[in-house]
Amino acid sequence: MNLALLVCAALAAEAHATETHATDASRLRIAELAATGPLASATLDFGGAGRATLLLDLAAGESRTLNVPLPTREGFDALVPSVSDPRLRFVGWRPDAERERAFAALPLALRTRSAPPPPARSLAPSLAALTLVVAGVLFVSRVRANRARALLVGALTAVAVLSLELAFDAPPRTRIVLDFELGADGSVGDGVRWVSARDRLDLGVEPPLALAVEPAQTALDVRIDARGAGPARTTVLGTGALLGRADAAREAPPDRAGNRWGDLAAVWTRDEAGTWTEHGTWPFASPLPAALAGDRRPPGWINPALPQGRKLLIGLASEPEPGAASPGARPPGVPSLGVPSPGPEVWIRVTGP
Amino acid sequence: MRSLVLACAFAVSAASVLLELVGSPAWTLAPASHVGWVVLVWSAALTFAGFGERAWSALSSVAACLPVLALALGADLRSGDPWAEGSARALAALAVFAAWGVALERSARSELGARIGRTVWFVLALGVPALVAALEWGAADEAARAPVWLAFANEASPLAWSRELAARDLASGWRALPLAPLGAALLLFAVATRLARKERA
Repeated sequence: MNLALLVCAALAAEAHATETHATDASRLRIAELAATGPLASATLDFGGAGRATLLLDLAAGESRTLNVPLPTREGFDALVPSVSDPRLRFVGWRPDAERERAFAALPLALRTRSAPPPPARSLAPSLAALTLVVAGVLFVSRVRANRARALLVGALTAVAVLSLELAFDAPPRTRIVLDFELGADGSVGDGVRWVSARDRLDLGVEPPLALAVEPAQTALDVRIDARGAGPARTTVLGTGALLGRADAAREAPPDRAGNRWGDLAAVWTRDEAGTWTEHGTWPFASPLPAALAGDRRPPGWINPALPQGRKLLIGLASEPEPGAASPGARPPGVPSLGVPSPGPEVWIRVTGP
Repeated sequence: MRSLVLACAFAVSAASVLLELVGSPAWTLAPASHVGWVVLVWSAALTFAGFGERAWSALSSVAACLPVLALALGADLRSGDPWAEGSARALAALAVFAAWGVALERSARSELGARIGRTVWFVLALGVPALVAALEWGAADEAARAPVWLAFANEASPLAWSRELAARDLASGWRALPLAPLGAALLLFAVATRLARKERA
């Protein structure tokens, strides 16, 4: 009787979790907009949830209906934005049963995990810029009696400092984590493909199944480029926030008997007792290499709060050169992940059996 | 602006960017705006500017502020601010600092103008935001708001505007423009100019 109650409680919890994540967890929901030309741009203000800027190229007399992802918060169905231009009409939130079903079909253990943190991005200035700032202020100090000259020196220094800062600034990096859960018999279903970045995430033309944002109260700035005949491209900005898109991962994860996924630059395994083993590189189409001597462990962020008492496999795909379109030296015939450039880190995490 | 005040403003405002060198989440200003912090510090330094004595002129102070503002803008752009928005906000911040610096400098040209300038600065720039903060932050009710007329006056404070810029609390679009602080500075400048002419005559 107690066992039956426990099972019922677990099922109810899962049903509730499914509902919660399918409806509330994602910070983006699809909404329908109707635009009438002439219209080049318009903004939608969602209050604390954020805002969206829509770029269009509608001529007079033209009209277009768009289904685009817009920022929401809990209780999204009551959220109605204020629109900057009456030629753009917010028709309403569009129920997206297919997308919700696809998200709910992913293993609960995977979709309830938090989005992986993106690679850290330093805001620190370069030494050259700092030196220039000090030199510039000292020079301004020398010529301060002549206001025009002081302003000229200050402005030139500012332009040089900003140019230096932007010239040596590395583009924000993206981190991809493919998360799989094996069944007790070793079977594998769909995994979750997380793409995370800080501050800015290009969603392309395909909205994610869910968008996680940390801190949750971050006001999102959604930019939608609907110019031209093609589908609208969406970019999400959240200054200082972690942005993680979740989609289904349908490729086969590496199997210990044979790696059919692709080259991996580093691999670790954990046994049921919690002991980590490093295996080094794992080439495509080969069995899992033998353990290496030493106790180098995978980075802490990749294995937080993972279930104890189960096996784990963590792999780092070869890091591509900046600008490369896909990770690693992928052999022909192996499907590409469609990784956005420039060069994201790609990790694989397999839990179980 | 006195050299010591200017040196302090430079050091404290640059510290917000220098702290990023530590590379720790506990020592970063993000997600606040570095530009907002820089202009908040430099505007606050106007309290001790001492224009009219042997000091830096307002425009020379602006010139000295420019490099560190550029450094802050670089940090804001790296933290994800769009280029156009970040630059527009930096220019608006610079305009607020420059306008109030020039207005206070002009008010120091006459005795009555200097008194008015100091009073306006104390009441509008420092007093009103402090009163609003006391009424809103210190109230037992979280939803408490300052009276409308006080909130309206607060909009004209360069320090309140800079704080909102730093905390990224500003509304979007044209409402983010510092029209009220610039208007108040322009008014002070006009009055100070008139008084200075009158005193000379």
